[in-house]
Amino acid sequence: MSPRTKKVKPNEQTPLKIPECENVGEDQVWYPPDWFLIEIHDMMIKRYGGWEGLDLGLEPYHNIIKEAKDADGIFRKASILLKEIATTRIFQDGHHRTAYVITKTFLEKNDAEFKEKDDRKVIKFIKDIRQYNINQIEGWLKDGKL
Amino acid sequence: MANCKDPMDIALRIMSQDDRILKSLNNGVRKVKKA
Repeated sequence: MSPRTKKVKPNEQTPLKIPECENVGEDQVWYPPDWFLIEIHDMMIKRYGGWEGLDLGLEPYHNIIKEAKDADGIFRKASILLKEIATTRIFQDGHHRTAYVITKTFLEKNDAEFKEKDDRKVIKFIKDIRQYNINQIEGWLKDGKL
Repeated sequence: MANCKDPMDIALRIMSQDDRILKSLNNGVRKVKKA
């Protein structure tokens, strides 16, 4: 005897659920939420090593996001994310790695991209990020030039 | 502006593609010293 199963009746009134775009419309800019920052940071520490946990915590990150929202242009916003996440003591460790992945994700999610493709130049630039101002970082992200 | 790509998918691909960059960024930048 075959097992009994319940037949489901069609319900045409139930609308098809189309995955939402992270609650961001196509005319809006996506900003990395807190959970995303923490998740990326934790992945960086687990994968490449370093000290776990927060230092100053998420409040400075909220200020960084506010500053990015107030700025004009996607590369300007990205340069603020890159510089400020890399140089603000949000975590105990892993700021440069986290800032790089967050910023590159931010650009791609908003239909833009890093112009510099040479790994060595990218590494040198990110390591030296403290010496560059926001205008220089914006130019580098946009054109790969300083 | 924003597309419908999953940001975590984007990030995972970046981590995979840029493994060399991320390994290098772990070396040579300031480390926190615990007392």
